[in-house]
Amino acid sequence: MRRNRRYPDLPRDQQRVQADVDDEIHFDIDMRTRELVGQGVSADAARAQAVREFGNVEETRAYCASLDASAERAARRTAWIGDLREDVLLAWRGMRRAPAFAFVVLVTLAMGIGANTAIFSVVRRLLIDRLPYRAADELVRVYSGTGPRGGSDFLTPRELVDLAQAPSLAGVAAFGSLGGVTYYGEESTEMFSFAAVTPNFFGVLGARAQVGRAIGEQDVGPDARPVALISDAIWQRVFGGDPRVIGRPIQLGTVSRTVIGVMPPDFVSPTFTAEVWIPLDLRPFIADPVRSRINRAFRGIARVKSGVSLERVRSDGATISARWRDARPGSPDPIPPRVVPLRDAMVGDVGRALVAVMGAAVVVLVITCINIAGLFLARATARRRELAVRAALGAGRGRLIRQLLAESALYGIGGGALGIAVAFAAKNVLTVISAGLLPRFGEIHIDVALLATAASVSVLCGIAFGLFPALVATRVDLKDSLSESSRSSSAGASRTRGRQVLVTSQIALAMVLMIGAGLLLRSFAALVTTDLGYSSDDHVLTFRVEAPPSLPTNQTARNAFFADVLSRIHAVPGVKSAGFTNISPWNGPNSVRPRTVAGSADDVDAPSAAYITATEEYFAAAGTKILRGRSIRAEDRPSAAPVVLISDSLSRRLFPAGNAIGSQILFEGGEGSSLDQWREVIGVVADVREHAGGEPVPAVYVSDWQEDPWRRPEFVVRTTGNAAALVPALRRMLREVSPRSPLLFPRTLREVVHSFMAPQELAMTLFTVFATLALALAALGVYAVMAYIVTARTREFGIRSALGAGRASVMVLVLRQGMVATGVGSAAGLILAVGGARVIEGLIAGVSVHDWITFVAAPVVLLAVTLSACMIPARVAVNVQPVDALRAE
Amino acid sequence: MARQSLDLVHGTVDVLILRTLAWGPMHGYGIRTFVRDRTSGAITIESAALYQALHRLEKKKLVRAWWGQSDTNRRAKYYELTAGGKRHSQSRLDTMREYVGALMRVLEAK
Repeated sequence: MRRNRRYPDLPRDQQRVQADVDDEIHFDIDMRTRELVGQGVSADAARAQAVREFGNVEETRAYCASLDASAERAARRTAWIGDLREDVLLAWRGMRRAPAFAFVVLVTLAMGIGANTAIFSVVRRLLIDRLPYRAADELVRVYSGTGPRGGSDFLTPRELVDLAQAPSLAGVAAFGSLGGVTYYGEESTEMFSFAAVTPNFFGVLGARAQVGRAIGEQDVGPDARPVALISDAIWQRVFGGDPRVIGRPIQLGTVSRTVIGVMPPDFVSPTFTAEVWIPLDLRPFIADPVRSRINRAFRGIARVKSGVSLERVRSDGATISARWRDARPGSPDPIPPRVVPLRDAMVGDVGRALVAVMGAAVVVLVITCINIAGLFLARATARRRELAVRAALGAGRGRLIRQLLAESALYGIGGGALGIAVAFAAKNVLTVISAGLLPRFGEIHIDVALLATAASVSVLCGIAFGLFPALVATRVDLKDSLSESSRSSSAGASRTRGRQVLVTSQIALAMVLMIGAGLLLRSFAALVTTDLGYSSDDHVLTFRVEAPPSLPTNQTARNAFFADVLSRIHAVPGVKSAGFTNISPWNGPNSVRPRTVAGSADDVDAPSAAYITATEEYFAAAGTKILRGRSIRAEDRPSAAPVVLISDSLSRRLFPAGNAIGSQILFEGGEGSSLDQWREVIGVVADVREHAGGEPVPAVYVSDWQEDPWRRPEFVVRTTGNAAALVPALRRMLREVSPRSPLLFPRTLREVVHSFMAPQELAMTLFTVFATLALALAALGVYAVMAYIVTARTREFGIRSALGAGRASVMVLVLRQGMVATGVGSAAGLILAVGGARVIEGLIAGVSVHDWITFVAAPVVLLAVTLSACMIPARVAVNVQPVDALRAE
Repeated sequence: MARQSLDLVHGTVDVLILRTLAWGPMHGYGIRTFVRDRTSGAITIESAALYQALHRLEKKKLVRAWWGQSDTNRRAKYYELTAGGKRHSQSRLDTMREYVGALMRVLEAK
C-alpha cells in the first residue's frame, strides 16, 4: 500500500465524485471476482457471484455519491476559509519582511484617510447638516449696503421697518449684542454672552423654549417686566437644570430680570454665540426720527416666504432702498441691502477655507492611492519570479490574485484603522485650533457613518491597489520569468510607461497643492505684515471692566471709578501705559457722521466715521501713532471744551487744505446727546484697519471723560513683557477695588489680530501640511520608479560602462528619465493650478491668485526635491560596473 | 421501534468497521475479508452496506480516506480512523459489550 496524495486536497466536481465511487465499487467486485477465480470458479460465474454478493449496487452508487458530494461542498467552504487565513498570514509575513514598505504604505494611507475623515466631519457639520431652525433654508441675514466700511452688519431701525414690508419676506427680526452681560449670582459673578432680540425673533427662526417660553410681544412695551431667556448650557451649569428657575429674578448687569424660559440644548443664536436673550424694543428708536435713521446698531434676520427666490428678495430690497433716496432728495444713491442665506452667513470664510482644505485633503488621498498603487505595482513586478514559481506549483491565477488582494486588503484595513485614529486626533486638533472660529452649532464629532465610509474606502482602496498590480503581475509567462536570463537588457517600455504616468500625475497634483499652499502662505504673510494702525503683539492686553451695579449712573461717579481703576493699573509692575475706550477699532461698529462748520446737515459727501472714545494714554498703549497735534490730556474733562482727534484719511477728507488742527467739527444727528456739540480737533492720528485685509476705517476719537458714561469700557494696557502674564495681578487688583467688577475677556492684541485671520490661518496651515505631504509622496513616487528602472537596467548600464560610457553620461541618462516625468507633471500641474487657484480666491488677500513668485517658487522647489529623489538611484546607476552586468545574468 | 433496530444494524456494521480499522488503514474489500476471516466466515458484511457505512463515517469525519495503491497495483480507496473515530469506536464498543451481555443473559437464562 502506497499513499499517492492526500485525498480531499483537490476539489472534485459531481462527475468526478461519481467516478471515484464507481472505481471503489469496481475494485471491490474485481477483488472478489479474483478471489473466487482463485478458488476455481469460472471467470463469468465468479463475476456474477461477486456482483450478487455486493448487494444493491445502484443504490450504493447513488447513496455514496450524494454523501460525498455534500461532504465535498462542506470541505470546499472550509478550504476557502483556510486559504483566506493562509493568504492573510502570507500577507502578514510579507509585511513583516518589508517593514519599510509596510510603514510607508500604512502611514500614507492613514494620513490620507484620517485627514479626509476629519475634514469631512467638520465640513459636514458646517455645510451639510441641518441648522437648528424650522425650514432653515428660508432664513436669510440682511446686511446694510452702506456703513463706515462701505457695508455693514448693522441696519438702522428705519431700514428694518421698511424691509418688513417687502412682499417676499414673511418676517424680519432684529438682534443686537454687546458681547457680554455680567451675571451677579449668589456665589459667583460671571459673564454671559447675550443677545437682545425683537419679540418676533424666535417666531421668525421657528424655535421654541424647552422649558417655559421664548421671548414674545408681551415682553416689550411700557408695562413689560424685564425678562431673560437662558440657554440650556447656562441652565445646567449655573442653575443645575432646576426647572424652578423659571419665574425667578436674576441680576444681569444693572437690571434684575425674571427668567421666562430655557432654550433647547441644540439651539444656537444665528451668527454669534449667546447664552442669554433679552427683549429688544425697537419702538422707541422707530418713534425718534433721528435715531431711527442714524442708529446703525441692529443685525437683521428674515424669513423668506416659501418658494420665493433670493433674487426676488434682492429686488424688493432695491425697491425699498430707492424709496429711501426719494425720502431724502440729494443724498447719494443708496446701496440696496445685501441678502445672504443664513448658513453662508454663519459659516462665512471658514466654510470657504474648509471647502478648499477638503479639496486639498481629497487631492492628497488621490496621490496616496496613486502612490500606493505604484508601490504595489513595483513590488508585484519584483515578485514576478515568486509568483511564477507558485503558479508552476499549481496555484491558479485566481488563487494568486486572491493572495495579492488579501495583501492589499490587509494594508487597506490596517491603513483604515490607523486612519480612524488619525481622524480622531485630527478632529481634536481641529477642535482646538478652530475654537471660537467655527460657529458652534453642535459639537463636531466623527460619526459612525463617516467611520464606516472611511473604513470601506480604505478596504476598497486596498482592493483597488491590489487589483491592477495583481492583474499585471499574474500575467506571467512561466517560461520567461523562470529562465534565469531574460533576453532583454532593459526594462520593457510598456511596463515602465504605466508607472511613469502614475508618477507624472502625482507630480501634477502635488504641484497644484504647492501652488495653493504658496498662495495662502504669501497672502498670510501679506496679512501679517499689514499695518493695522495698532500693535499686534503680545505686549498689549485688552479687557473690559464693568462698573459695579451699585455705582450711580452719572458721569461723575463713573469717571471717578474708572480713573481709580486706571491709576491702580498703572501701579501694577510691568505696566508701561494704559488707557481705555468705549469700543476699540478691532471691535467696533459704532459710527457717526462728522461734518465741519462749512458743511451742511445734508452734506451728501459726509462720510461715516467710527466713533471711539479714548483716554490720555490710549494711543500709546494701543500703538496708534499721533501724526499731528496732541493726545487727550487729563484736563479734557466734562467741564472743559470738548475735543476730538481724527484719523488721517478723515482729516484729508474734511480738511483737504491740511488745516485740521484747531478746526471745529460736529457729529450729525446727535441732537440732545453728548454728541451734539462742536468739538475742537486737537490731533490727527494714523488710520486703523478693523482687521488685516480690511480697508482703513475713518475714525473720530473723543475724550472718554467728556462722553456719556459708558459703564463697561475696554482697557488697553501696554506692558514690558508678555501681557497675558499680568492678568492674575490685574484680577487681584480689581477684586480690591470692587469685588463685583470682574476682569472680562482678557486678550492680547496678538490674539485679537490672529482671531481675525483664523480662517486664513486654518486654510494656510492645513494646506501647507497637505502640500508637504503631497510633495513627500510625489518624491517617494519618483524615487520608487527611478530605483525600479535602475535595477531593471543594471545589465544595460553594465554593458554601457563596458563599452566606455562615462559616469556623467549614465547619470544624465537616468536623470533625464526622472526629469521628463517631473517636467511633464509640473507643466500639467501649473496649468491645473492656474484654473484651480480661483477656488481659494476668497481666502487670498494682498496677492494675486496668479502671484508670479508662487508660480515660480513652487516648480523650483518641486524640481529640486524630485531631482534629489532621482539622484539616489542615479548614483547607483553610475556605479554599475561591467561585472555587475555579468552577475545579473 | 423500527428505527431503533435499524440503528442497531447500522451501529453494528459501524462498530465492526471502526474496530477493524483500529488495526490500520484498509480499503473496503480489505475490511470485508478481515471481518470474514476473523470470524471464520460467521459474519460477512454485505458490500453495499459496508460502502454506504464507510462513506457515512467519512462524512462524519470518523474515518478519513485517500487513494492509494493496492497490493495488486490498482488504485484503491483506503480508509483510516481519525482521532474522533478512535474515541467513537471505543464508546461504541462499550455500548455493544453491554448490549451483547444483556442479550446473552436473556438467551442463556436457565
